[in-house]
Amino acid sequence: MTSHLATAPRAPAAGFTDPVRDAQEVFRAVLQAQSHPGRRVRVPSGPAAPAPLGRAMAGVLLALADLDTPLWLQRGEEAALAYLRFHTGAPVAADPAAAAFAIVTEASTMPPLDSFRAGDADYPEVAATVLIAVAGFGQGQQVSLAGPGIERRQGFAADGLGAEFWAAWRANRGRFPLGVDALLFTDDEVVALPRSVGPEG
Amino acid sequence: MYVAVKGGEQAIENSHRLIAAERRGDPAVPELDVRQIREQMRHAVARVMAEGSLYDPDLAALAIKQAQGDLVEAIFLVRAYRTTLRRFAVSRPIDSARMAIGRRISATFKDLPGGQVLGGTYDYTHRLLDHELAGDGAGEAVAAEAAAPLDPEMPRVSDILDAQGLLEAEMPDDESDPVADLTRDPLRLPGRRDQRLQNLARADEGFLLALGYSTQRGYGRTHPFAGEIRQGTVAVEIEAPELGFAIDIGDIEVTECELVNQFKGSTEQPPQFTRGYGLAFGRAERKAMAMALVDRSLRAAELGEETGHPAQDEEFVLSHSDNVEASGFVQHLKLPHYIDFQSELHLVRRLRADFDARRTGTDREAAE
Repeated sequence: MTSHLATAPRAPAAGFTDPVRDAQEVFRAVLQAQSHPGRRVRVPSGPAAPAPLGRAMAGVLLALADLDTPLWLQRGEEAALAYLRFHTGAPVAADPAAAAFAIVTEASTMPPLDSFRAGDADYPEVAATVLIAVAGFGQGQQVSLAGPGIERRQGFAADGLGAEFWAAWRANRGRFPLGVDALLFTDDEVVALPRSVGPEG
Repeated sequence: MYVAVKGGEQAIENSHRLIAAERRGDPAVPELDVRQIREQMRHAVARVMAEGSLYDPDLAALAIKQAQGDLVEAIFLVRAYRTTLRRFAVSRPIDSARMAIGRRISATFKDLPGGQVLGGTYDYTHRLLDHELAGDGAGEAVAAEAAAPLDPEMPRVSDILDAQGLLEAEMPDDESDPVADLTRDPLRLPGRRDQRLQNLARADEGFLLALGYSTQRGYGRTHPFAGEIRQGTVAVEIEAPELGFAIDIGDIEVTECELVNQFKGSTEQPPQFTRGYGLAFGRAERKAMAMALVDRSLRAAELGEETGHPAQDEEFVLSHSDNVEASGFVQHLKLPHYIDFQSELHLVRRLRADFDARRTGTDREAAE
């Protein structure tokens, strides 16, 4: 099944060097990030993926996405689509509401958070995880995050996430136990924003 | 599922060593080879594959060996292993009309197109223990070969009835919708028939057998005929989007049962026959038939029939059919409940003291 793909004229860029080990390292990084919302965690072994996918985001997708997790891409460049399809086997959804992982590469023009799957009362865990690429952490609107996993307050800011995003995130948090979870990425770091955490004050 | 249990490390390690020794049994007796189990314990292998939801005779045989023949434990092992497997593709539906037939019988038409094919069955044995099998020299078993190959046209009995308009049409709910998958998504109630059929296909055979039997004895009448039971191998095909056509990735052995049930009709539907459907990996006739009985029984409400019996209660049946879940919950009672029990002990002692005090008081009043 893969032989014709390997010989295709433009084979997708390489994925993980050591798929099992690399995926475990990336998984560990995401676990670490989810356990400490708002804290920056380095993502090791991220592969060089076609634009607009950064290394850390591509690594997380390779580790977590598969046939059972439909992806939605804000900007569906063919090279990125082919890369993800080849390495993960994940179907690509046209409708953001159908995605398990929604890939946002331009935060300023992202669709409203409530256009993604928020789960239902019986099964809140089927909600989407929104992966958002940002230029950096530290700049942008400063917020003070609170919630499970944060002892007192966790100061946080991400370039390009302004008042509008944080207002939408408060609304998302207000729907708990429903709501989306977010992972924010620079090229080599990830910050988790579970639905249970949000800006206070 | 109850899996991770903590306890005394040394005791547990010793227990594992003991179980390994017990599994091996008398060292003077040759050790079982997994291939022997695969070839000579086919029904056990089929059951582990069906209820373990993984078609792999070698792994099923290994699980049976590891579990010392405890099939529910073997099913648990296979279920646990399958969670580690990567899923590459979703196959197209298998086409049982194109099955390479090993056995095919109908209790509804004696002379059906393609003919009755008895195949290998215990049905006509006299259930006498064959002591020859106990010895080493049981002799070679050689099957008799048919004089002519089977008719390539083996239409299903349901297709024949369907063509005459006497059987309800079987239409998919929505072909663009993905098929329910309990190994990925939790059970939802009330659910669609796809979810129900998957649940029943991996359900405990004994549970289905008892429920199916209950419907025959009057706890929810289904009035079934064995329209057809066919067993044999079918091709599994997947469609690779890059290729644009289906490719055959191998054959699997399955047993399929279609029960035909009388239906007196309703204001919208004419009197006709309805179906109950059963399918299981390998040779599993009893399982496929029991599944078909229960499937039809669970359609009682949908068909406007009398309801209220256990086998007609979707929530009851589907929530209790899985033997890995059932076994886990029943057996978790073995785990330490020392604190729970202490609190109950304390409570019962206090109630008992109150009771005794009241009794003494009453006795005193009576004496006065």
